[in-house]
Amino acid sequence: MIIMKKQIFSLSMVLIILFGCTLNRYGRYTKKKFKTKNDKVIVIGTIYRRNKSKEILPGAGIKSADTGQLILSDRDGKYRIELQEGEYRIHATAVGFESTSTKPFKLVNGDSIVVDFILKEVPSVFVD
Amino acid sequence: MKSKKWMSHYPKKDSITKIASFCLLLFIGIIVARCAKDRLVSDSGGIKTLSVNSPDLKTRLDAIKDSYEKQKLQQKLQPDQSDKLSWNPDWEHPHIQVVNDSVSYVFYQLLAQVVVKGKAEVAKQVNGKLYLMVKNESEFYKAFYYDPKADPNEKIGKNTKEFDLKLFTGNLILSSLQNGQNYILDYSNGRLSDSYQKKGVLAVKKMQSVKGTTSYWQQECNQVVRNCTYSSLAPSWCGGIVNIVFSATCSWPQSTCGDTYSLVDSDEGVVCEDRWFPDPPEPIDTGGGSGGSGDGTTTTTPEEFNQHINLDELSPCASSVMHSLMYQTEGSVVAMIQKISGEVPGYSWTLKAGNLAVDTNGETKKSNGGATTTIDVSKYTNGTDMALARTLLHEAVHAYLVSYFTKNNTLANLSYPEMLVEWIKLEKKDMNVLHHIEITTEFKSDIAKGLMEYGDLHNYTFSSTVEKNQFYSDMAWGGLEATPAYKALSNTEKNRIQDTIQAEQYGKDRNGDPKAGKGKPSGC
Repeated sequence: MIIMKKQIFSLSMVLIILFGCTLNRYGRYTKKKFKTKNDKVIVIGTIYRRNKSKEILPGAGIKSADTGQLILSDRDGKYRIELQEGEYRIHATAVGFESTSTKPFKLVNGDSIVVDFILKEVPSVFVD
Repeated sequence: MKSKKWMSHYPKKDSITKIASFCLLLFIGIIVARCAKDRLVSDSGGIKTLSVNSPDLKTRLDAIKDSYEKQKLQQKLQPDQSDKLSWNPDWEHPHIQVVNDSVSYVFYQLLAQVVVKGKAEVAKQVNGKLYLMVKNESEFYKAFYYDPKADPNEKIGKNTKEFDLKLFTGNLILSSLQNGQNYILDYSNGRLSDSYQKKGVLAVKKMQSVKGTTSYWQQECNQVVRNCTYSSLAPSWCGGIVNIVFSATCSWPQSTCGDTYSLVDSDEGVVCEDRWFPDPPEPIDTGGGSGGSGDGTTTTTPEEFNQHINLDELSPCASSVMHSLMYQTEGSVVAMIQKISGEVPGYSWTLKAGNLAVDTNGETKKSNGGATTTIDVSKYTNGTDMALARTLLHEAVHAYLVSYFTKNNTLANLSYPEMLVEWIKLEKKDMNVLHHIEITTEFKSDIAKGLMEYGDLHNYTFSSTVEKNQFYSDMAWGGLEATPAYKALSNTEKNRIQDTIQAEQYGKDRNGDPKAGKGKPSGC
């Protein structure tokens, strides 16, 4: 019985991790949600390069498909978007990197979401 | 009863008094000791920080050397895998710098001496460089500068340059030779990176927030760093000297010169990435014998930019054209890059000859510290020097964009947001396509200008200014045929452009009929 409980617990942990850190073909993102007393919906995060040292990526474009709002990550790779209540997908890309998108998520006032993206560089050869 | 009670309290009161007295004495003692310590500190403050201008510089440098020898620190530098390699401080060439007016650093390059056939040879250091760093004349560190992004698959050949600390971008691992502590610092374009400086500010703030705190690190982040050192242990057959190659990922070096590499040293240590190293040093100024205090600002001059262009492996026919393009006045490669970049960037560009696909004249790839371009000179056998000049300027833009723009996109180009919008529009993310779009909007007129100056310098003749302008504008379209801007041209324009480009490259028009180019035979 105890062993079974342990197994269920381990399985639940794996599932939680899988939900918390979603992987897709081109890059990764991690999402954390907080409740605040703020009457806005705020999305913040950091953009990284997908490499061994996980460097920050300034100048990446972050866009909510639903609002069309495009903002750039700052010199520290950080961004901040204010949104209205609703359902959103957040996309991130940078010149030379594949695009990565989140799955749609619902936000209500007071939600504060941290979405960090890890973008994968596109291998390139330049020809004449 | 009361009096008894009082009486019975008297001894307690006495002991309280004694304790209070003891505490008072202790407190006074602490104050006295503290004052004495302050006096010591203030006395030591009387000794001026070591700098290149110190009148007793030689004596103090000698004292550093003596201290190093007395502590037998040389033993701590020896490789663990081979006794054929030894590291020896270059005592004759110290680099001195002062940070925050009160902290001195003396750097001595560690020369890699490899025993080859019983004779000691000084090896060339590739992908990294080692120094002995002495802080405040008493703390000794092994300072290892390296580029964590160095391409482990890049082949080591006779043209492989020694690791250059100019505009250093990469990591510095400081390993104390006295207590074994490791620190990792990161630099970008010759300055401590912004993120590292912020860590420092945070650390200082935290220190101030808790009284009596003398040190603080915000996050212990243990990371095992492996660094391998390889040596060719013999001069290579294609010339040059013995190479010492560093690899942060312990990738075995590959050689183009037939020599083989052996592992001579490997470090495996726990490094706390976020541990703050107080008053971190600036990158070493390798320009002279003794470095100055350095304010961290570094600029690249056009001369230095040209020195970073390596033509050693390029065919003479292409090399002579490139040389001319490099040293033109308004239409030079550096002028073109400077105009768009707003500064002279410090990347390196290597050009070499090689065979490419049937429809490819030139190909540029990102490489360690910059870009490498391959030119297929067999494509110019029937062509002119103008055809070569066109390809070279086109590839010069790719080299700039690939090595500098993508590295620091927010600083490199004011049109970055527009470029990002174009990138988002692309269904298939292909940087080559994006570069070509960028070239049509930002560089095409500068390529035409550069080609015009080249033509003027080589006495090309035209019947009119209109014909001249048209010719160079058409030439600049070369390689951009897949862009929306080119596709939007009329068929008449496209035909004229292709006739011009193909006449220069093949001596024929687009229908295969002979058509002489304006330029001189390429000589390839």
